[in-house]
Amino acid sequence: MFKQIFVDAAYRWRMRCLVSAVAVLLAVGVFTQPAVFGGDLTQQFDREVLPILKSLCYRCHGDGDNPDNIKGGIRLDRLSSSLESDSDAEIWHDALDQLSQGEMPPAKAKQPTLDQRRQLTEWISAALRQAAATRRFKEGRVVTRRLTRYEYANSMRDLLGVDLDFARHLPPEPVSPQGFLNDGATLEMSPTQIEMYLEIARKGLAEAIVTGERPVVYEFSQTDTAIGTLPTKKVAGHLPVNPEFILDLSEFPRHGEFELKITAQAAIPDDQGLPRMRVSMGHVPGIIHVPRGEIGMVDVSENQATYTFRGRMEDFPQPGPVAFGNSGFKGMIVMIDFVDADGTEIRYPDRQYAQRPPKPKPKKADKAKEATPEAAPQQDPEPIPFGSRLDIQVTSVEFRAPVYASWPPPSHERLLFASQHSDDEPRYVRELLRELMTRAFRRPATAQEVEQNAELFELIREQSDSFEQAIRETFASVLISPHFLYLVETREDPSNAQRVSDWELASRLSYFLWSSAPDQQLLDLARQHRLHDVEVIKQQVARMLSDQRSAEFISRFVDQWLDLDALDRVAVNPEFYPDFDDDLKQQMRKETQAYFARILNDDVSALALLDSDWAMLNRPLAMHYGLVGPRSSGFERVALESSDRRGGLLWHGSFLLANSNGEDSHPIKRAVWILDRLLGSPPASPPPDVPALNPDSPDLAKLTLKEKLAVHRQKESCANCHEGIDPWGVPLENFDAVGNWRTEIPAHKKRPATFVDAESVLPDGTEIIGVRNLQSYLLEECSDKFARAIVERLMAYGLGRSLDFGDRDVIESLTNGFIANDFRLKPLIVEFVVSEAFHTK
Amino acid sequence: MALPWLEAMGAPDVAAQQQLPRRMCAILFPFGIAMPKDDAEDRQWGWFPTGEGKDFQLTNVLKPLEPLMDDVSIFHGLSHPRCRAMNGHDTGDTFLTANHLAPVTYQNTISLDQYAAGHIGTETRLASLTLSTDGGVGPRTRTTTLSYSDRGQPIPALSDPKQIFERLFGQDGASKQDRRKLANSASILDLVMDQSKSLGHKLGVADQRKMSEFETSVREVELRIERSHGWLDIPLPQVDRDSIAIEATVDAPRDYLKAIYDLQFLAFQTDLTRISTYQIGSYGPSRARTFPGVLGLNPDWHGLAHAAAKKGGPENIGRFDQFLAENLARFLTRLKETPEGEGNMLDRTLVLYGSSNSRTHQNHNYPLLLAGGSGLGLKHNHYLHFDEKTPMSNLFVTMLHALGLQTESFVDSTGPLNGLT
Repeated sequence: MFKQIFVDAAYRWRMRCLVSAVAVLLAVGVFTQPAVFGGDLTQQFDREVLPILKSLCYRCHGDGDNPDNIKGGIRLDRLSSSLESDSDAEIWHDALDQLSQGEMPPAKAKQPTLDQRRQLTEWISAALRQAAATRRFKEGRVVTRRLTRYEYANSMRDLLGVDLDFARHLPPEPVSPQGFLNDGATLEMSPTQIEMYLEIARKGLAEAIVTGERPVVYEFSQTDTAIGTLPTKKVAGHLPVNPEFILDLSEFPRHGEFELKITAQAAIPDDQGLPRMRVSMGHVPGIIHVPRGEIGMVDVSENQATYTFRGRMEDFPQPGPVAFGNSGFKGMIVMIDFVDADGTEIRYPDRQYAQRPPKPKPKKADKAKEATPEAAPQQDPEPIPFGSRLDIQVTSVEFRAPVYASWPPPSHERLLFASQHSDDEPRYVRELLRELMTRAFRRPATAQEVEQNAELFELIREQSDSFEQAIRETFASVLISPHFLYLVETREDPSNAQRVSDWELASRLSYFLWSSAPDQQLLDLARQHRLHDVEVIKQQVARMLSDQRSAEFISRFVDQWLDLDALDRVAVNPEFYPDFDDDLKQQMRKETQAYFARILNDDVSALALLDSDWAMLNRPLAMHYGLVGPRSSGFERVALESSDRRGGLLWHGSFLLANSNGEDSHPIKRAVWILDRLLGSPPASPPPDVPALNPDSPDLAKLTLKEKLAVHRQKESCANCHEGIDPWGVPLENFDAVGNWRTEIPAHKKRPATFVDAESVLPDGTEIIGVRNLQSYLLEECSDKFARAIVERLMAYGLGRSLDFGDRDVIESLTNGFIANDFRLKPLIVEFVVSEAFHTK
Repeated sequence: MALPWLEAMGAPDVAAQQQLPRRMCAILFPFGIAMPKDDAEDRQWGWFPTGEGKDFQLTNVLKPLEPLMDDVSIFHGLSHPRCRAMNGHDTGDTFLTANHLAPVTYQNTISLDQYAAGHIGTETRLASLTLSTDGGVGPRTRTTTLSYSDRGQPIPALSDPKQIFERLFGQDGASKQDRRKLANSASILDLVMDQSKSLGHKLGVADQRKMSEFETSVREVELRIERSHGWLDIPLPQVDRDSIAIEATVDAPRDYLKAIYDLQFLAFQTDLTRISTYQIGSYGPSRARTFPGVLGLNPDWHGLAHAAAKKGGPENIGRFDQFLAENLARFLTRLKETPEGEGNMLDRTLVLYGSSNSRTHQNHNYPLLLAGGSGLGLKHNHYLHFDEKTPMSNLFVTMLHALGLQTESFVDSTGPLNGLT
């Protein structure tokens, strides 16, 4: 029943779209481009654009006074307003550029009014986007897509049962036009990647499948810090090296998992936050700053406890096998620093810091004798004993590597499972392959596929020293197969849309909500052909969302939707914010993720993203925002008094900082973010050869940023777009670059201090004063747009592709349902995964 | 530092060894430079020299290259005419391809380095080396790679010095085990290719097109493996890992840039490859944007470039451009100080260096220089002026000729560039 209805519908949208690229569409806001499928552009063209073109352009570029004298060979009257052909699209594109640069109409000709300019610019931009969507639909969707780096890493980990940093060296993913990393049409493949996949597969299998005896375990433990003169010079981006505790490992395995157990306790005077212990490792002789990789950072409580860290030796900077210069010590160094709850290092003048590299220690047995430092450090102030001030005491550090839960490890036992046919090599290999390939391909491997790989095994086996060596190589071929590296969705007729199979549906669900391969339960349901059942899907979504692995959905979707990666692309200028600790960027990112997670998990209205009376805060962030918050670095829900602060994304440091320039607010960036990410109506990108606002040019230096924006808008070519952009960013002027509240903008160099002016007039004429006003406006006037924007982003992410015309009906019905369901995300996700879009390929 | 392993340097056969290598390296930095007027008091922080022809003076910015000027020519006026109408920030994509990117598809075409690699890359273990600070390919119009395949596909760049080192020197093809690995790889790829082919006709039209990238890639790796067989009996040059700061990260730009240049030098010196590209930063959201912070300047490269015309602006961006020139000079000096045949390595290495913006966002008059190649027929120590019509592709043609290719044209070239030969 379900299937029948569904195929018909799919056929219908397709036909409709092919017959007429522009159908009856939704109403559009007036201030920027419509969302991908909003707006009847043809009507708009006839009503608004055509009269302007006729009066201003056709004289030279159309059927005007002198049709024989067509300037530049461009005839606008012959262009199709639906932009169906590529060459038409290109001419419209040029026209947009010319217009935006103020080159057309030429200076001596009659000029368009500001409104006319805006109408032209908006229409052409929207039409170009629509043309791209039509084109995507006509050319067919890319539904078989490559795994992203993180999906690949998760899948490898789940498949092999070893936790390596599989994606570390894979090239970073390009970002799709909608801001996503998992868009099948954008994801590339290259020879270098193929080589890397093969190399990574081999490395992973060498870890997962072992030979020989259990490796020798290196163990070290210390109760006191080693003493040394590590470099203290500050190098860009690196803290000086002066750890509280050093563990030096004169002998260490270069490879394998390590375990570090640190027993410690904290002394915390009243109402202070929990201090944290930052643990790092690494040593490369001869580099000025000691390179180290962070192993982890934990809150330390008053009660003595043992904190366990794990990692892999090969992921940390190691000394080369060859001695360098005259540096004697070639071991690894584990370092522990103490920081207080808001990220400042805890340093006391009466404390001796370990600041010299450890001398080589000849024998483990001699270690006990060496415990006393050689050169007595300066005897400064009398040491204050532990307990009376904020402090951490490390009582012991134990290091062990490589660690294995058992030998052979569980990964080995799982891949080379026991079988009654283990002695019959050909048969056993086929059993092993069938199992691995079914998990890797997320569907039953065919007999032919198993046979092909078994033949490969036989070929390789002849040349190999051991069974394990040959099986690793054979398994590697499974891990670079297109059936593993791509989410393959086959179809019977290459040119027609079809419904996905249960197996494909299992993968769609698991890569959407877990960013990894389907688990046994999903595969079982697919095998039983039960997964497409609406009730079964609903149960599965509920199960998957309550599973830990859904954290992957939250962080990936939120990062990409809200472009939180932009945080790493802004450098906070210490001249302006001397107290800003870069670690706060991470906390800000987590705040936004935790906030979204809370809304999702509590199943409350997503309008809380626009405004709320609560926040998700941890100690460092609460301190940064000047609020009373939790004691620990874990995020907690904090109720807000409306008098001091409101909730919602517009108050998040992540958004405010990522859309600043690291020195001051950046109203344009913030405005573009709101229009694009929250309202789904991105303004057109800036035209070529137009210099951006230069806030420091002499005549502008004394103006406030808002005044400068006004100057900017006086230039007509800029005003085209900026009239519609800037007013959205100005109400946030009360936030400085790092998201702190301000009422005054401090003086800097020649610019005098000024009071914040957060008043603006939106393109629809509404006067907005400050962030709260803007929040109310968004809630009252834009909630439908916001709903649609979430739906579009969620769909693009969940489908791994850019949306096209065929998606219009689903967007429409999901948006209506989302609004009707009080903007709750869980029902939206459920409706989405049972929608036609999710079941069509 | 003397490198004793040079003696062990190998090439496939004696004849090839007699023919000394010809190499090319292309480097791009984004966002353009300062261009104060000739009478401006901060003219010294403009990138372009003053004067013209043989009679010119370097400003502070390129001063680090002064001792090397017998091997350097600087150009004024060159750009890619086809790329002028593009967004100012889109032209990193086309620096080495010279072609206009079509709207919607952003289809590109083969880059200069890959074109050269198609001819001279066959003689080395690696046909070419593609590097950038950001790594990968990045989004179209803001790509993080300078290299494009013959189908116009961006080639992912490597960014991590450790990974680059491993790729260059990590695998020794000499042992029995490596022979086996190579043979196995060939069999594995055969199988994967079969799977891919039989999958192809079961896919939708757009998917088939996309999946062809996978097949092309597998085929290319198969070819690389075939080529590697020829190298099996030649030991991989031994390099001291600790002589390069391979742990350097972008957080320490000084160490990082040095490591990247050192790796290119070693790759050339050991003849692992003869072609490299390096994109110091992309025009997009690059990790390199914060690099100027290393000099205590505003850690926002893009911002500095935008402020280049304001008071004090030329000095800010100029100091950073000078820092970049110092790094380049160190690389060139290393090449020059390493003897090769009758001359030195720089004599046989073309190093193209510049930006695809002059003032930021402006796609005219790229700041460009070419170093090296005196042993390949090039004459240096000029500051050559061209009118705006002259395509930068003419320089590409001259470079290709110096590399020994009989190329008549590249994209929109009108002939070789006057004044270099």
